[in-house]
Amino acid sequence: MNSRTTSRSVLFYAVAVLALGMLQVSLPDRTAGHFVKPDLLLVLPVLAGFLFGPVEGAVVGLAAGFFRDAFAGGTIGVGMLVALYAGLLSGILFQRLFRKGFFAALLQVLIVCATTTLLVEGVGILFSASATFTPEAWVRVYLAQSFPLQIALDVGVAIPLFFLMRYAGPHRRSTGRSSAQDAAAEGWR
Amino acid sequence: MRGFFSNKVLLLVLVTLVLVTAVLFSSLPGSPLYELTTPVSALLQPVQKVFQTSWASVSGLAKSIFDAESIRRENDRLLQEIASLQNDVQRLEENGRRWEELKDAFQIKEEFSDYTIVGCQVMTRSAGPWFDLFRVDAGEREGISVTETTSYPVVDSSMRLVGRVYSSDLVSAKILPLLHQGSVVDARIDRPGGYGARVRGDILLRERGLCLVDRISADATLDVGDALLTSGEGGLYPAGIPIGTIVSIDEGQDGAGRTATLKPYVDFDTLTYVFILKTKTA
Repeated sequence: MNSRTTSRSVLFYAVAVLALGMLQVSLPDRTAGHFVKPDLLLVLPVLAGFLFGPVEGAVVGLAAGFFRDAFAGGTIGVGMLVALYAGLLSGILFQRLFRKGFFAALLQVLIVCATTTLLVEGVGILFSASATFTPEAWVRVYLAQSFPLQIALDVGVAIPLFFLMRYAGPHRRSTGRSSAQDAAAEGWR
Repeated sequence: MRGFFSNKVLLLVLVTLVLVTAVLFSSLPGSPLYELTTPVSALLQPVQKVFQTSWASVSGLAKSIFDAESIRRENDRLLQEIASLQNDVQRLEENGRRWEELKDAFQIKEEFSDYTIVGCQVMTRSAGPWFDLFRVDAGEREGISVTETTSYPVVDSSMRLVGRVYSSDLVSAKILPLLHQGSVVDARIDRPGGYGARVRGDILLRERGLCLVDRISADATLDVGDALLTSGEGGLYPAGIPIGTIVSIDEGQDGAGRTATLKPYVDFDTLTYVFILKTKTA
């Protein structure tokens, strides 16, 4: 990667993290009456990992996570940790099954965002010592209502973001994973 | 050293350890780690303000386009009304606006004379369900400095409880809202006798914009519609700040205590300005 390509990547991701981050913290806290909003700062590293490999996904995740922690996090580091691994995993997981395509990207966003969201929700329940929590109530209130809406919003915002990153993104005329990026992903196995 | 950093797995483990350590340290109240956000906050605050203003304009424009037809009809009707009332309205409008502003400010100052009131604008909302704190444009520069033993209550312009300051850096502070699962407030029922209770955030009730009320005194009479105020116990919140109203009561079975759900007075979705109450000695 030459310095011009690196500069383009850094500039693209800096602008993307800033713009998407500011948009995310300006959106209303509720969508259709539920406590959810599109998670732009999670979708960005997931797509970066899917399109350009695990290292790029992890680094973008770290930056997006820092923005999230600085602007809205209760603790410093949780957002960075979650987004780092989301970006990293989306560069590694299913790479032999999902190749380059638009629908594969959406499926990847769906799987990684759903896994991450459920994981964080689970940890939240464990640490919050909720007095009203019962598995039935959780399924009724969260899993059947808020969770599908959250994932639908994440997949929805991934559509324009995918085209932006692929055709006007950090790498000139990028068309998805290159063999070098696949090789980079192999390094994590 | 180069070899160490070229080992990606080792690097990942190292980064993970650093981040886990950061999480642990930053979960301590008043952690110096929050100072890390000062440069970011200071640099991005003006950009965020411009963005927020532009976003509000764009959302307003989009809403007005969608509502165009109904607005046009309503406008026709209102124009007729306005024509007959214009003179009166012009005179009273300015007086009314001034009166409202003075009334709100006066009410706060009168009831909390021991406190200095720091007014601030909500800069950012939550980043999603996992991170539901919001940020305001007042920080250590305005004397808002959270430590292990010091925090500050936050109210809206009508003196209703919003939450408390969770952390602060030089130019901004994060507010823990009432609905957050980490929020706990000692309360009393607004009835003669003023029995005590506890209001706390709950991860499932938050989905419906409600809080949990527990530790309700066994002798207390509690009905749907009853108001709850801060009790003043615990030292953080002064007594008498309105919190919300009871929307349902669960009498409890099998020895479980009575609990209730509470709808906060504050509409967190439309909150744009809040007031931090700072003790004059702080």
